[in-house]
Amino acid sequence: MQAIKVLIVDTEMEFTSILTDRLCSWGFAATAANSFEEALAAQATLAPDVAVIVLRDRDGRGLDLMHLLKANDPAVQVILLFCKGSAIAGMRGMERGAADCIPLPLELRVLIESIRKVTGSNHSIENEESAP
Amino acid sequence: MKILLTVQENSIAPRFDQASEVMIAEDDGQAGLAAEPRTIILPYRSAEELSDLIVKEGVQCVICGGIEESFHKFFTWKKITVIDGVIGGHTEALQRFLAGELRPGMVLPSAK
Repeated sequence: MQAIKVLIVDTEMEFTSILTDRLCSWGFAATAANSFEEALAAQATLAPDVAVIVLRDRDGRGLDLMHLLKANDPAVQVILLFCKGSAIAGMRGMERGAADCIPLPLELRVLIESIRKVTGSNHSIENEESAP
Repeated sequence: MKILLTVQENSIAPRFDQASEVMIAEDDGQAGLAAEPRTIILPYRSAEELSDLIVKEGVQCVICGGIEESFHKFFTWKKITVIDGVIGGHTEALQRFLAGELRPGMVLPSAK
């Protein structure tokens, strides 16, 4: 079975690096992008199934990126991660087509379940013995 | 008991305020785990945010590297045990804790 392709977008390099490592260890094909430009370039070359976008500011600029990614590929599923103070932006994102919205700090298991849910993969994390 | 380990690059974070992720585990009272440990990735490094998480999660024991005295005192006041100064892999630290062998300042064989 082909690995689910996940694009992780955040300006914080350490966060994307850790999350990419963790998702790869769970069998996802995860790629990090640390700017809008990198995210759009990665979408063009990798055609991710899911984009995970971190909303760090109240104005929710990440929602603009979501709009661009979905305009390029309407099939891409977007999961928003929101920091304290960005919950409203997260809610707006759900209204505008995000598949899910998860608060930070991020519980890895919650994100994995969400990715599987939005991609229609019914493989439950609870059934796996291979947790890294 | 709920246990939180501060993690940085698969080891106990050398400093509490520099942890980039944490592992939360719950022991079953018989030297084992009640469930699979949870991994939580922090959006940024912050001792304050991490302390909030520890209190909100109802953690009873924190396993970490170096920690500022003010945070150590705060956790003690909140009746949270702190095993600090631990150096080495976080998985090994958890195993040692469950076996009742982990002590403050311990340098584990997995230490880089």
